[in-house]
Order: sequence, then C-alpha cells, then structure tokens
Amino acid sequence: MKLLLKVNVVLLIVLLSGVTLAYQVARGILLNNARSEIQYNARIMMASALAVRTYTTTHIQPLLENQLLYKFVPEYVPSFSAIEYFNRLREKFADYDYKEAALNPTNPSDRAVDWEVDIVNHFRENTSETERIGERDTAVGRKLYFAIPLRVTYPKCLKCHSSVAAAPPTMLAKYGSANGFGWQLNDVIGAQIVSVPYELPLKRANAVLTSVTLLLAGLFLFLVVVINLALLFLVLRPVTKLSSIADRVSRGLDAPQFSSEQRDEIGELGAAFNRLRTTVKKAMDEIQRTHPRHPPQ
Amino acid sequence: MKKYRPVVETHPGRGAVPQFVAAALASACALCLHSMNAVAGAPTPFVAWVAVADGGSFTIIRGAEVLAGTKGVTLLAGDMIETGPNALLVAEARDGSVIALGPSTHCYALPRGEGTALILAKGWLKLDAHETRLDLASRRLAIRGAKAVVVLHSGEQSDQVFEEQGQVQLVARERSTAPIGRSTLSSQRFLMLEDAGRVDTQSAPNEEFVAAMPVPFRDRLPIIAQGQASAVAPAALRLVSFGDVQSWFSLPREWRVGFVERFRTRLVDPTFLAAIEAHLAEWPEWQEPLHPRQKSDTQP
Repeated sequence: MKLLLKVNVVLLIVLLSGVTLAYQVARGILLNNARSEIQYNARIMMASALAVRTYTTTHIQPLLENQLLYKFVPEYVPSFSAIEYFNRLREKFADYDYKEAALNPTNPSDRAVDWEVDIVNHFRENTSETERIGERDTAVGRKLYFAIPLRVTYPKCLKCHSSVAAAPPTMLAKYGSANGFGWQLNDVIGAQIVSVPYELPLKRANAVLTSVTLLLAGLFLFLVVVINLALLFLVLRPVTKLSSIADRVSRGLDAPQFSSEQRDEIGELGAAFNRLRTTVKKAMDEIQRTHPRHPPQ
Repeated sequence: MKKYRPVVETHPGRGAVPQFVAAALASACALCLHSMNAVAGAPTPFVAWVAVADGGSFTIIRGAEVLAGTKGVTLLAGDMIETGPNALLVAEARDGSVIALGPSTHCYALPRGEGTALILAKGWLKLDAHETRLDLASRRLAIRGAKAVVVLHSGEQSDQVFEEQGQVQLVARERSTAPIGRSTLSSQRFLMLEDAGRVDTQSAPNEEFVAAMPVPFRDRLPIIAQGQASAVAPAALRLVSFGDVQSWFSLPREWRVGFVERFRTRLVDPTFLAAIEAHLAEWPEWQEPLHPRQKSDTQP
C-alpha cells in the first residue's frame, strides 16, 4: 500500500471520528440550549401574563370598579387582560398558547380540559409546589408547557367569585349564576399554563448543527487536501526521485546527482545519499584499479 | 341699550382663605347679585364651582339675565342651568358634593329653607354627596338622604333613579300616580317610575338606561379641590326673554316661588307681558302683578 493511501486512510478515519464526535457534542449542547431557550421563553411569557394581571388589578380595576355597577366590563378582569395580551401576541407567534385553566371558571371557555385538570389537581394536592414543567404532543407538534398555580390572593377577587349574592348584578347578567362561585382566599382554583412549541427552537438548533457539521467536514477535507499536497511535494516527490537515482546507481548505471533545495530531512537524506554515492564510486574505482577484471590491452 | 355689568364672582377657595370668610364673601356677593336683579333676597348657601364643562358652553339664568357658563364659573342658588346637546358639566359644591349634568339638561338650584334643592326639570344628573346631605327632585320624584351617590334621569314618560352608594328616601310627587308613596332606595338599586303608574325596581340599571346615560356618569365623579379654582365671570348674554324661561314656568307651582319677583322687571318687554297674559290661567301667581285688585274691590 502506497504511503499516500495509508496516510489518507488514517486521515479519513480521523476525519470521520472527529466529525462524528463533534456532531454528537454539538448536538447535545445545542439541544440543551434549545430546551433552555424554550423554558426561558415560557418563563418570560408567564412573567408577562402575571405583569399584565397585576397591572390590571392595581391600575385598571380601580378605574373601572364603578362602571361594573352599570355594565359588565371585561377589562376589569385580570385574566381577560392576560388572555387578550396573548391573543395579540399570537397574531405573530401563533403556536404559543396561554390559558388560565380553572376547575370552576366564570367563563366556560376557561374550564380546564383533561391534562390541565391533572396539573390543577397536582397543584391543589401539593400546595408548596410553585411550578411544573412538562412536554406533550399536540396536533401542531411537541410542546413544552410551563404551569404555575392560580391562587386567589387578592380579597378583591372574592367580590365576583365568593357567592352569587355578593357578585355584581351586571356580571350575573352576562355569565349567569351557575359557575365561578365558592372560591376562597388562597385557594388554588386553577393553573396558568403557557405552552411553547419545540419545533422552532429545535429547527434552529438542527440548522446550527448541520452548519457546524458541514463546516467541520469541509475543514477536515481542506486539511486532507493540504496534507496530501504537502506530502506529495515535500516528501513523496523527492523520495521518488531519490529512489529512482538509487535504483540506477544500484544497477551501475549513470545517474544524476540528487539535487534538492530543501533544507529539511529530505534534503539531508539527499545530501547523505550523494555523499554515499560518491564514496561508493570512489571505492568501486579503487577496486577496479587494483583488481582489474580485464587487464588493459 | 343696557350695558350689562359682569356678575361678581366669588372664590370659595379652601386653605388659602378661611372657609367662613369665603362663605361670607360668597353670600355677600350673591346677595348683591340678587339685589341687582331684583330677586328675593334669601341666603344663598349653594355655591358650586364648575370644574368641567365639555361639549360647549352652557347657559345660566341668574336673576333675570341669561349668562354664558364656562369652566371656572361659580353657580349660585337660584341659578337655572341649561346644557347643550353634547354637554357634560361637573361642578363641585362648597360642601364637597359633586354635581354632574348630562346633555340637554335643565337643572334649577332652588333655594329651600336654609339649603338648596336641585330640581332636575329634564335630562341627566349625577350627584355625589357621599359626605353631605342631598335634596333632589324631578317632576315625578323627590329624593332626600345623606352620604349617597345618585344618578337621576328625568324623561318625557318616566323618571329613573339609580343609587350607586348609600341609601335615600324616595317620595312620589303628586303628579305621579305610582304607588311608591314614601320608600327607601338602597345602595345599588334602580327604580323607574312611569307616568302610567308602573314602578320597576331592579338590582341593576336596565340596558336602556345605561345606553342612554352619559358615559362619564359610569365613573366616579372627579373631585377637584376648590382651592384650585380660578374664578371666571360668566359672560352676560341678554335679559331673559319669554322663550328663555318658558320651560321653567312649566315647573310645578311650589318650585315657581319667587318667579314673580324675579322676572316682573321683564314685563316691560311686550312679548313677555303678552305671553304671561296668555298663560295666566296656568300661572295664576301673575294675576296680582298684572291685574292688581283695586282697594275698592276688597272693601265691602
């Protein structure tokens, strides 16, 4: 097997091993980053929803309180503000979801469905737990959900949700008296759930991974080409030339001096070969002179 | 032509001027005003500063003059206030109560006893008297109480009242045949009284009432410290014509007390005189000034 082939086989093995290893390491890092990013996004969204709710409670409710005497104003309700905020957000980020899932909501559209009921019940049974993160498959792909308990912390909430008798008549006129009552202070009545799609961050991670892998492979290939060229011009060609001269010399034929401008090991080898050749020639001449095979005529 | 003098305004400020001084000044100015306009010279405890006058100016009939009201003017007892079709007027009274008048509203600050009753001849009125007593009336209802917030609408066919806060006494006026008599309206209760005698009481205002009510009435009335008030003199427009006061003359007779003294100077206007003559049967109190009985008529 030629030297170049041997070197290339070794290089190929190193290249494949390197790229595979790099791919696995980069994939792990990028997927972890993607998961962290998804969770971070979910946390930002939850914090936004909480901020909107707090703003509504502290700034909007006092302004609208009197209006409730005349007409039910949905803007008075913190969950309405948070949901509306997300609805606007979903105009640009359609796969992101936010829901205030409650077991006994005033508005039936807020009623918790199967998997949400499990989350709410988990929070009701584990009152010290402040958040829950999980994944689930949906019609639009895998999603991460981030949930926190929806607890009645403001006594003001009980104005509308403690009993039918205490509720504003305008609210009863809109939603009836069947749902959304019997809440008590500090009760967990539901969960705020943010769902964030995996697809986009994973797509982004995979795109980065592909780019990194291709870049690494390209870099390796470039190195192989450079190594091959270097090997060819710096080692193989001088060695082949030297080998050819040595071959002619060994058969007693005329052969030129090995000339090389290289000042490296190959150049030193060529110089040593030239000296050897001169020494051998002198020795042969001396033998021929002292022991002529055919006496001179 | 008579050159009208601007009405002297009082500045009922709190803090900078002691309240009793402000009250004395206000009363003195009002008395001067009344004497100038030949109005019965009763004490005038009602002084309110107009803090909001949106949707155009409003008119005030003060004495026998028509004045143009704007933000910053002071309303006095005896004033008849008329707002335009898009108007919203909010005034803060010296006693801390806040009065809001809606569009196309006629309201009369009727001096009564030591206080002042607000008579809503038509339109919308919201009164926030959460710290004081209130004395309100429409054609069909009289409302009295204290520490209450009330929205009152007086329409062609019915009057409606919604009690936002507090508790008030309702008295059906004579004209109404409704069987409410004297009753109490509790907080956040709504009552509608129709000419046909139908009474409707609900725990919340009905949709028609809310839809017709000026939207700002849904909010708490803004309380603006009178210390910030800057007195603005209302511009005098003209002496009243019959057309200016015709609708006020249709008020029940007990609310027309003092009208003869107040407007008799306008009898020099032939149109005014002729109109009064024509309605003498409806307004018999004008009989004496127009056709004084001769002494010989009364002597045997």
